[in-house]
Amino acid sequence: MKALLSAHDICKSFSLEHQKIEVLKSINLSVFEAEFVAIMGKSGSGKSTLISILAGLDSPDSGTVILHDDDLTQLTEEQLALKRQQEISFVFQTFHLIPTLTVEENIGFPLKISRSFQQNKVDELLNKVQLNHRANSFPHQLSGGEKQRTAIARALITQPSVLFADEPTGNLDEKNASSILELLIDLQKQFNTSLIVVTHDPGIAKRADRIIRIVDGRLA
Amino acid sequence: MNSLVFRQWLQDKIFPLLFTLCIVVSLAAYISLDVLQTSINRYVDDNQLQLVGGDLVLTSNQKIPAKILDVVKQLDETQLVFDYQFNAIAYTQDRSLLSRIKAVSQSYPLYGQLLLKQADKTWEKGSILVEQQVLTALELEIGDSLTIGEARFTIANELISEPDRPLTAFGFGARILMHESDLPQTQLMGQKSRINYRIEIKAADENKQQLFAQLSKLSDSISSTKINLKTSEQSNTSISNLSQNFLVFLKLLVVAVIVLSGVGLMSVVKAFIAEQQKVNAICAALGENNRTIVRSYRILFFSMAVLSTVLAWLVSLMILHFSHDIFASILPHSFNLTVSMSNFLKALAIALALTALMTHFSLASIYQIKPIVLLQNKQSHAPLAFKSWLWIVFIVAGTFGLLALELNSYWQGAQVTLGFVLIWLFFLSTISLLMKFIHWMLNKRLIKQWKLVLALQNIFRKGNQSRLFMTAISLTSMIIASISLLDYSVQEQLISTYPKEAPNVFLLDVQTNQQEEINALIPNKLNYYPVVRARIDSVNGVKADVLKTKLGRYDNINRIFNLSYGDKLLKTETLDKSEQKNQLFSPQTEAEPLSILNSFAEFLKVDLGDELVFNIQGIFIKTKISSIRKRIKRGPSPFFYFLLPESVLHDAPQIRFATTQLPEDSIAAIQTQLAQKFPGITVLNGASIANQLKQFVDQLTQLITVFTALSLLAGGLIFAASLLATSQDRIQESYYYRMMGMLNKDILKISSYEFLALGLFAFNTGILIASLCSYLIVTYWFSLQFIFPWLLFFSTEALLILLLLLLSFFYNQSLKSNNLLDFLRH
Repeated sequence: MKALLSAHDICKSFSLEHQKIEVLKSINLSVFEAEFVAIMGKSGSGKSTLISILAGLDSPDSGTVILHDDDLTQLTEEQLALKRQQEISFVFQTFHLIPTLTVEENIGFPLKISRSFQQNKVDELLNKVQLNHRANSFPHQLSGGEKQRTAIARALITQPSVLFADEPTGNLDEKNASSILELLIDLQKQFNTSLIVVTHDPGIAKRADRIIRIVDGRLA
Repeated sequence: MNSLVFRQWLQDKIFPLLFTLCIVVSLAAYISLDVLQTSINRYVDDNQLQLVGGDLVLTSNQKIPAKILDVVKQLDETQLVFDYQFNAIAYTQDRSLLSRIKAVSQSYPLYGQLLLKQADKTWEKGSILVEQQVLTALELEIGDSLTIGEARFTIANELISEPDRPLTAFGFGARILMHESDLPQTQLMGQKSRINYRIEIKAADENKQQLFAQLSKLSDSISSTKINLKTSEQSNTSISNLSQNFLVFLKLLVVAVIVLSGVGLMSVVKAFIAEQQKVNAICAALGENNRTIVRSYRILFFSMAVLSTVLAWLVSLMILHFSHDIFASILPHSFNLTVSMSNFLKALAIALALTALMTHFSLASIYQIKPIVLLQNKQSHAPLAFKSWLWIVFIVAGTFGLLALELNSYWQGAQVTLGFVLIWLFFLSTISLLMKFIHWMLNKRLIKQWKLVLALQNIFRKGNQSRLFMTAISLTSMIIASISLLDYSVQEQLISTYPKEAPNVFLLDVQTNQQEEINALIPNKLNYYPVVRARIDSVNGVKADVLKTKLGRYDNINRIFNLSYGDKLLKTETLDKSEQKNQLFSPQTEAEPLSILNSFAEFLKVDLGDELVFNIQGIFIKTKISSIRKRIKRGPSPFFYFLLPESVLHDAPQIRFATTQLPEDSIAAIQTQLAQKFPGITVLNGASIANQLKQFVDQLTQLITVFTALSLLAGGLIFAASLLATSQDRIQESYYYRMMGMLNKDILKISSYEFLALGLFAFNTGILIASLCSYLIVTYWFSLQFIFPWLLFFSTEALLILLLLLLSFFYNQSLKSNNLLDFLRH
């Protein structure tokens, strides 16, 4: 079976006061279509750096990241932007909603960016994340759980091939965290999207199809 | 704590830079003007006697009566100067020039000295001193001859400056100084209608009061001649008037700049404190109390205020050193600027007060810090202890204090402060309405273009200071645009393109018997107007002296007026009201009929049927108003406040005033011919005078524009500070857009739309209000056609758009350099 996303021999290091710190050491991995992968590791192990490189937000010192036959490490900023419009989405611990837009506008915003706006898609997503009653609210009027549901709807509206989530429940209480996780997995299945989650939470990892552990920059 | 705060402050250079700029821009201008003003005041105090000319000065527009001359002539010759000033045409064989003649007696000047080009040369009788302008225009040199009236003089020296005429920019005609004893040879005295007679007297303190009382009593007793008697202390000089008016006006502009800079300062401090919230929270969590933290910031900001004032001081010294030419029109020759410590201390007090007021809110927010809330990445929403209305009261009180100090009057200070507040409120309300309209359009989804929607929504971003920025920019655009629009309309119609149908040559002091010869000399038709000089004795039985205090400032009821006679309206007039339909005059039984111009009737508060008594050289003529005329066209054409039937004034002592239209290139030759044949006639070239006026107005406009432009700079600082205050939000927005795959060009578009919306809304609101004000002033005050400078407007608009786009581009480039990954992680 051909991988949707594959990383080959990824290395990444940072310089700190003339000292070179190797964060990722020759990482190789593949993620398949509609697969749910959890990346786990201690703080500073390199998991966030890995997800950033896989998502094309950061470039490795060496190695390749192939998504749908395109090497993300070789793409220009504009080409990467197009990939993010069509194939890659994100959900973050701190939601990152646009404060001046309403829930409905936040959700539909990626479609406007890719010039493919359709109101019925927005309504559908609003319905799926059960925020119809909050459609005209602004982010500061929402609870943490509602904010994350908006962020998830916004991430999935373009029907991306792969959704990256960095500690998606990190800012939520136990009850909200559990319902967000259920929603995320449910929608991932419905949209047939690959889901890559960075987490410390064994509860989330337990629900994943596969767990990738990183220890000192290497896959364990 | 202090060193930590200082280190944090210096870490990002933009904060100290903007803070310093805010204070330096406004205070450098303030100190420069303050130094100029105090120096001029000191100059006037130190040189009052030489500026006035004597301890006692008698002035009149009529010959000084013999009774007074008898008293004055008892004084020693060295204590006395007779001074006669009038306009005349000075001429050579082939050239002529309008000059301002000053004939003085031997003891001139009583105080101070004449400054001459060749200082060692003496000035003998039969010779004259002339300004450089005379030499240049008539192509003469020292030692050459020049004719004035019927007399020929040798130019003895070039006159650089006179002690009693510190400013040369005012008044028309180049100065020629001659001896009083040479005056009769010119034979001009009997022919000139407008001569200023002056007697300057040197008197020791003990005699001064006695002489003043004696002359004053005599002057009051002579009703046929109006004489002004003043001591040196009572006399105003042109320079002190200038200091009191023009510099105070410029200072008011700078006070507005100080207030605007204060807003910029507030934004900078707000942005810095917001950025330091986490550090402050950590310090508080480690046991530092909030009072100590606030004290550290206070020390920092006050130190910066002191440092910035020192910088402003240095900048102002540079301005004063390098901008002498800009101030040339309002400064006396060989004027020395005296920079004193009090100028610095005043500026320092302003800087400290401004800092205290503008940093208060941000510093008060530190008291609300709850470390745990901040460390959890949440914002503090605790209400501020300091009420905002009280803070506004302090700001207004501070502005009032400064204005009262500058205007030297609590009452005027309060009036101008109220004016400032009202103008500010008007603009703030206009901008608020505009913003509400934009908000309404956004809410109603009337704007479909999503990038534009986002940009407009960003205007309402918290901390954007959009309203303040737009108010400041629209207000300053309005001031500059109003000056430019008025200047443009007036110059277009009166100066640059002198009205085609208007006369461009004016002949003063034409004698009736000269008319025929003049007509033969000048190829074009001349219009002659008889002029009878008279004073107003009473209005409806109330003496003019009594009325003077009750009337406005439109004119002086006690001056000499030019009456004319005739039975027709001028082409530029229409009948506003009349006792008999379409009749200038209607028969009166007890008085002569009078036609009055409406503007003067309003000034005198008179109407049809009211009675005016004129004094024509001791003969009293009682008149009743039978019609009121109105000017329908303004510009350089003659008009008379008072018109009477010919039968009433035909035999009165009179002269003629003539106007004609001549090709521009023939005026100089005709002027010379006229001067040679009729030396008593003064020829005025309308276009040349308009041009001279334009140069002077341009100099003043330039000064006003420079100081008003400072408020634009202050507006720019507010914009820069608000960018700084919202930079975190903007970086965040830019990351969101990039995270969702927005192309850089689209991010740039959104930011450009926002900048364009802010800049263009503000600028065009200012232009719109300025156009409206200028239209009203030009149409109803100057009675001219309002001309909008479309080319200038579109060029400025294009320049502004370019500037805003460039600003947006570079700002976005700086945002792009921030790491997306770091942001998303944190």
